[in-house]
Amino acid sequence: MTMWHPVALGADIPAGTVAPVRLHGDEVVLWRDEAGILHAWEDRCPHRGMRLSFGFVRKGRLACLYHGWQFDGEGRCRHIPAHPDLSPPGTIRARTWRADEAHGFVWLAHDGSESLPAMKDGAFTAARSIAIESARGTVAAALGIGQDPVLSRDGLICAVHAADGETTMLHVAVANPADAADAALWAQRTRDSIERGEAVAWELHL
Amino acid sequence: MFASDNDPFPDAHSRRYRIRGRFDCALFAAFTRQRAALLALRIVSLRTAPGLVEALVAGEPALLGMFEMACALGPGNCIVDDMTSEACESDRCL
Amino acid sequence: MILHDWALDDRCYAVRLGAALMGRRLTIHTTSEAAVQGPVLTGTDGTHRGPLAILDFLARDTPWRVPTTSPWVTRADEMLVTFSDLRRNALLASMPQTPNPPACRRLLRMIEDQLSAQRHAGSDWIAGPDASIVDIALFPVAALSHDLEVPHDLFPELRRFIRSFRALPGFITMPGIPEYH
Repeated sequence: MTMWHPVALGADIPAGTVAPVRLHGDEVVLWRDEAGILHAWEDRCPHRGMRLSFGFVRKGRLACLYHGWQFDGEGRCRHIPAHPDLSPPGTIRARTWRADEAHGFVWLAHDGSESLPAMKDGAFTAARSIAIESARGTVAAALGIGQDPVLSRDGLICAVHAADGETTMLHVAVANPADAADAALWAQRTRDSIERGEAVAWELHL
Repeated sequence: MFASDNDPFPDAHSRRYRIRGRFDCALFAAFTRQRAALLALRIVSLRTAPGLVEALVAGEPALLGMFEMACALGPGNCIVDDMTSEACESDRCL
Repeated sequence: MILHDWALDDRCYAVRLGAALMGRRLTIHTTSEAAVQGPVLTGTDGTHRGPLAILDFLARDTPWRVPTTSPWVTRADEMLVTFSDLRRNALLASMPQTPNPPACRRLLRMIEDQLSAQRHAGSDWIAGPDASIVDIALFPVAALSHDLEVPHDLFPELRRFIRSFRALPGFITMPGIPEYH
């Protein structure tokens, strides 16, 4: 069975930008090409191991900051600046993850072949992705997130993922765009409550 | 050079590398195989002795250069003290 | 005006960055003293010390100035100085340092929360509707926090701020802040 994990708000990765993500400590680079297509790879250049998330997007390719090796949307190396006339062999490629988008969240899967399960998708507005210095289990329990990776409650759509063993990202979107600012503040209060070991208050508008 | 009917590298150049240093030979040999695979190079022969890895490698010259640089640095926990690299005529090398 | 400067110092960088963005010409005098005490600006108008005081002076008669009533001017000064101490400690340490120190995470969290509130109020900037000396002072904190091994996956607002800031006309880098070619 393919495990899909929500790891970011799609709105936090605009076209032409790069972002690092950690999922249970695995380092992944997310990048979106100019056409809006999202890519997820292991955050490591096959050349010398530099973080690809330090790199930048140019003409549909991700360029490593270190020596400028460029990788196309499939992860294949297409250009090596030190050897401009060389056609890089197909063996040089970044390790890819599976990525998809739904509910305004970016989802990752490491292996398996099943697609992201269909969800009741509305037009959700991203409010905030926020780091909580508590383990994922603690955060999920405090929010009442069970088997379902996404929790919909009081107009809030919440998802969580473990960056590492001690740090959890809470991703919050809203059905009503007018609620986005309050939802961002709610996320902040929720972070503070969970870190203090207090109960989560679900009032969106104070 | 290594030309034969089914040679996938008909235009390949080849170089012999002798790498001396303080390392686990098996680990270093595995590293050279990985780098060669990454760079689409063919390892024609690879032999190890304590403190020594000797590889005859064939492929695109620019990629051989990258292979050489990678081996000069080596993987973690391996110290390369000395490395020689020479172009090979196939008869003499094989 | 002469800036007593150290190229690798984050506080000095904030001043050079501010001058570049505001189009102010400074004569750079390199001195290792600036690596410890931070930037000093001298000229016919007297001597100015401390990154925010210098930036505020450079920003006179420009939209980069923030009303001194804003808590963010003092706050940004304290944050940059605190960050600078942490970073100097990490970079000059003779023994390996604990990566991602809590004190640095706290600084970044404060900036992250403020950037989120500002974004929802329609601004990309920390202290108001437009980029200001507060953003200039805190850009080095955001961009050089890699030196303390703070993982940026935890700070999406900060990443957005770094992108917006880098796009400002006149932006310059320092060692540790890459240029993209």
